[in-house]
Amino acid sequence: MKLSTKILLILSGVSILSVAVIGLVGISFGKKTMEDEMFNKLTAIRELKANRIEAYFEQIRNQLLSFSEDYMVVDAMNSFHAAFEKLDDDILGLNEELIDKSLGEYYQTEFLPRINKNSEEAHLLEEFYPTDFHTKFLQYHYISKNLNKTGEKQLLTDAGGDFAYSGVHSHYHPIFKSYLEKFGFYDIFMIDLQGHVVYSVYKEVDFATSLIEDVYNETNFARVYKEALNTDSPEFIKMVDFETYPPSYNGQASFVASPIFEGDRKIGVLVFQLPIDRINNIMTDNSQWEKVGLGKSGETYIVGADLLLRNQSRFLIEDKENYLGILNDIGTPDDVISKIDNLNTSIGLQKVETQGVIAALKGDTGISIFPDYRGIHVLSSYRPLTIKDMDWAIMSELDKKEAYSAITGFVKNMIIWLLLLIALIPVVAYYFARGLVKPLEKLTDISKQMAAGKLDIESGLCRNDEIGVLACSFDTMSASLKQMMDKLEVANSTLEEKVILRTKEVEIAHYKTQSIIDNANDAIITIDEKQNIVLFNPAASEIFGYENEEIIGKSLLELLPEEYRDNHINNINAFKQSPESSKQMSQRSEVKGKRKNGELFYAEISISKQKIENQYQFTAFLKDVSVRKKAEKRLKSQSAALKSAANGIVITNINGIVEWVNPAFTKLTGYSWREVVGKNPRVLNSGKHDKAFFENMWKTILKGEVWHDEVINKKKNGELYYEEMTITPILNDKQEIVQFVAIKQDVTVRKELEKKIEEANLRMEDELNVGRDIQMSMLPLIFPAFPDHSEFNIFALLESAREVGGDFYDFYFIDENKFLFTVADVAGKGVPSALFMAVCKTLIKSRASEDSSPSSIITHVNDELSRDNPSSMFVTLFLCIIDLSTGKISYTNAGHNPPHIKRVNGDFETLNTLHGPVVGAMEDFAYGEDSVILNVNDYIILFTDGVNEGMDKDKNLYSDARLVETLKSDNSDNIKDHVNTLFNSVMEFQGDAEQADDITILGFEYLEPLINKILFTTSIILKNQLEEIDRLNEHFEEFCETNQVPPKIFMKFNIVFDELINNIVSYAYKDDEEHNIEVIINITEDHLVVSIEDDGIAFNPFNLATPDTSASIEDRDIGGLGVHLVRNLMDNFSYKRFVKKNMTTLYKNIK
Amino acid sequence: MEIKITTEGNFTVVSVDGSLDTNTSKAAHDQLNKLVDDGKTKLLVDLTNLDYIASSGLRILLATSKKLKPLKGEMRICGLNETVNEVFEISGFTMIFNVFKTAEEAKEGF
Repeated sequence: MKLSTKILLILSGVSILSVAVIGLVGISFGKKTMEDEMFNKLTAIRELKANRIEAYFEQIRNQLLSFSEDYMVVDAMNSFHAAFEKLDDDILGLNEELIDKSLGEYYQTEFLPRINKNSEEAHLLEEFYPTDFHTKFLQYHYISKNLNKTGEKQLLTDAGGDFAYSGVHSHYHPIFKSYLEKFGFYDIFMIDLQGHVVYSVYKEVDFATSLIEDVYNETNFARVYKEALNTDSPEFIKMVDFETYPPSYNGQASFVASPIFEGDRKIGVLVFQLPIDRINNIMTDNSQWEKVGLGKSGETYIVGADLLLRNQSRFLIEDKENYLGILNDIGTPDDVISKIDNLNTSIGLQKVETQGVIAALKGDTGISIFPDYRGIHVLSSYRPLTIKDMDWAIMSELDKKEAYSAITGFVKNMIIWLLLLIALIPVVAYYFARGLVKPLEKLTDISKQMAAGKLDIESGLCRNDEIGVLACSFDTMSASLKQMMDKLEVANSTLEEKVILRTKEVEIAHYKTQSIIDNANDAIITIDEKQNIVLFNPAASEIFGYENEEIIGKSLLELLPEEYRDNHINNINAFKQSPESSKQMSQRSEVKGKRKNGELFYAEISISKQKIENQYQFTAFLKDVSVRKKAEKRLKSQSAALKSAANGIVITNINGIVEWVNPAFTKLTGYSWREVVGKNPRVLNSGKHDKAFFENMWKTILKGEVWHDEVINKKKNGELYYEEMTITPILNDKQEIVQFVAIKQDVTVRKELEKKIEEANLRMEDELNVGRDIQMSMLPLIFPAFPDHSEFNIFALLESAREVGGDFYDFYFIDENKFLFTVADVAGKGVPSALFMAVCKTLIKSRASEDSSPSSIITHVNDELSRDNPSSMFVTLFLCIIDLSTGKISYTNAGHNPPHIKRVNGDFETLNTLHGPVVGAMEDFAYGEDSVILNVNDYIILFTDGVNEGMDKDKNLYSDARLVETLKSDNSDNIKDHVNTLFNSVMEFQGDAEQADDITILGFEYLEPLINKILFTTSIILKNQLEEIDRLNEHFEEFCETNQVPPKIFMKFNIVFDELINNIVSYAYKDDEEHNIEVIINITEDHLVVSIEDDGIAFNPFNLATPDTSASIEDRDIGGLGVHLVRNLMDNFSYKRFVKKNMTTLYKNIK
Repeated sequence: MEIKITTEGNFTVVSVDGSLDTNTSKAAHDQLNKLVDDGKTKLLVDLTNLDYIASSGLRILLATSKKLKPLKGEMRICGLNETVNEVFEISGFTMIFNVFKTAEEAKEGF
């Protein structure tokens, strides 16, 4: 598949998948959010209403309570009761018929029609018409005789007539009426202890009746009255829920009652009748549902414990016909529907037995979806109302259909956008893939051209992205290749020249050899089986002295000395039988022949046999060795030399003196034949090889073996050159070395090429190491780092691993007194981790310039690094800030290895607390910090995990245990050695194993507190006697008091002086002489610094081990306690040994 | 340094004024030894007026306490000022001695 197609498919696939997933998650999340939003809105409205309702009832209770305690009410109660009692006299002798006529007419024409309008069945007069004359009398005066319309009877204040009640009524009625109007009650009643309703503002037909005896004694009004009547508490308040109440024409009425007390004496009951309208108005918002956010189908309502509505249904108000239709559909009883229809109200009629109502009445608060009283699914938010004596649930609901219409719209929109995006993605991916692949295609094309030999092509694609860099490398590569090919071409043409030269020389050699053969005195003689000579060449004639004609047909034996003849025949016969076809006679040794003249001579013979027609023939090749031997030496050497004539050739004798050189030698070295023959070849010695090199050469060639090696020699003009030299020893017949032939080949050009390739390789490796270079360039590497500061010494080293890396350390002053040092380990390797390290280091430094708290610095750096960290890199960090005037180190450990502290007395501590995770991983993490005091000559070692995780060849870890052991047993005396000791230990452990990770170790040793400017100073010289301590104390106290050092501080010095001077006087001197002890007291801006100098034996008190201060009395050893006190009473201390002098210095902060 | 010795009921009150250091401890030690030798095994060491105490002073308190142990005696210490208290804390003496804030508290139940 093509790359662009792959990218297109992957991009499209991944994008479509992510868009689809995000879209679907978005839809489901959005749906949920919108639904939650709906519920939240419903709950908010519910709470608003509930609070108003609850507040309303609370307010009523308060009003009732305060009103019932009012003196005016108490007086009114007494007065109405008394006036009511007096009615006995008032009605005496009155005409009851007259009154019945008027009152009866009112009941018939006003009351009954009204109540019947609100009733199922028609009521009869007898049911309600009062029987008691007192009742009739007052109802007559205040209801039927009252000319105001029904419902406005309260407008009558003075009924006239001279009965007492009328006067009392005229007096109090305006006050009660006004109170009622002000607070919007339905009615206010006062009932005496006998149950008589002695007062009512509105005077409905319950007025003047008895709640104990008369017709209304079962109503909720009577019930609440009776409860208030039976209480002994003036604070008592009782409320009853809404019920149908006949005097209010079967409307819904609720009452709240409280007793009226005069002092401790109960005199009556005060009752408020509550209007249902108020609750209804609150719940129905005066029909403004849409304005309060309930949309087209939302409503809030209250349901009582009887599961009946306490306010109007919205649906009844808005669309009665439809509402009634629904009620009918869901099977509501006809009588209920007709009541609702007739009375035009759902209050107290509509039954609501929904899941939410039941839950709320049980006391649960919640949200849910369920069918409401119309059987329609609604989103509902419900809860119980907390009103005393009322068991009510409040519901806030919205039709599910309406709630979900917005959600459905949202989902539709989302899906449209999703599909649009999914359609768009392949187009974008296509263009993207094309843009990505095009340069690659061009590069591929170029590389094809390069492969075909076209090297001088520039891609023209050099850019900053990865492909651009690749293209650049391509360009660079093609340029380098071109250069290299050019060079090779030059080298090639040189080679051809050499081949031509060599061929020519070989031809010459061939002719020369041919001529030697032509001139050779070899004889060729052939004999038959009977030893008769059949062939005798001219050379043989010359050697043996026989003419051809005279020897042909004769026996070969003629040519042999007599003593060889028998032997010869045996040899020939043996040869005939042997499977060999030719044989050298007496190989290498010389045999003898006989000339015609009888002269014997040495000859070298080889014979061969041929079988012709079952007859053997033998041919002998014979050389007159005596002749050959003369030329032998020369021929041998010349032939070797000639064979090698392409290269420089030197022939030396066995002592190395040059006998012969060829022209190539002259060309190579610049030395002519004349200049070197008879001399030693060491004129060519460049001095680049040692003695052993030449000794080895001589050893080899003197053994008769060939020596071959590469030699750097020097030309006549002084120029050095590389040659490959082969020295062949030339042996004579007796295997003795007679000469050496050296063949030299100039390889300077090849060497130079090799060197260039090596350089190019090195350069490439350099580029790979850019990461490490960045890393190393950022570290402070000069030690001692602060030679001007005697307060401390710091030393660090970092050994990079070959590949893995990213450690760093850093240190600097952040103000005059404070010094920061840190060690860190960046995860990852190469350039990215080096850059991350640089950023981290810079962030720390810039923050530290204005912030001296390690935790705050790291928290800040962490936030910065985490905020925009696409590569998810991180760093572990240990950061210390030391106050050099006190030795206090504040430190924060962000996921790093815990450092170790070694105290001057050998105590060992590990800072184990971890203050947070690695830096760069988790934004908004607040790091912590701790502190520790470094005393003088204590030191702290920080390191990275390259130390404890250093590995040997068998993958064993160096380990924390080994690290601690090394630090504990290290006895060196300065921080550089401490660090090096640890480092060497790790290195030794690793052995030949490759280092896996960077190794970083930083050591900080506290040498003395930083002393600010000395303000006051004094000194005193003491003799080495214990009594002198008192003199010192006196002098010291006077000085301290003069300079306002508080006694709390100088008293500590009294103890310290006692301990230290006592030690010196008792133990420092090994003689009985008198000695001086000098005490120098300085006050600086913030410290009291006291130095004690003595010339006793060298002794550092602070090297003493810490005593066990937790032992019991019996086990308690008092030794070492003195110095322990000094350590703990002072803020810091130091000891120095000078020549024949101890100096102990004590530091105490006086601020 | 000055030492006042008074007897109250069944115990002896030893009040030390000034300082307990190299130069004064010897005399204090002698007096304490004498008391123990005389059979006074219930000692209340009142340090209310002691300015400071060095290790030599601690040493004699420890020695006296060790001496009382086989005699079933008891030593109570009271009235440590800030400096003396710090020395007691540093040396771990608050844990091995019966130390009281005031003489009144120390006398209770002694």
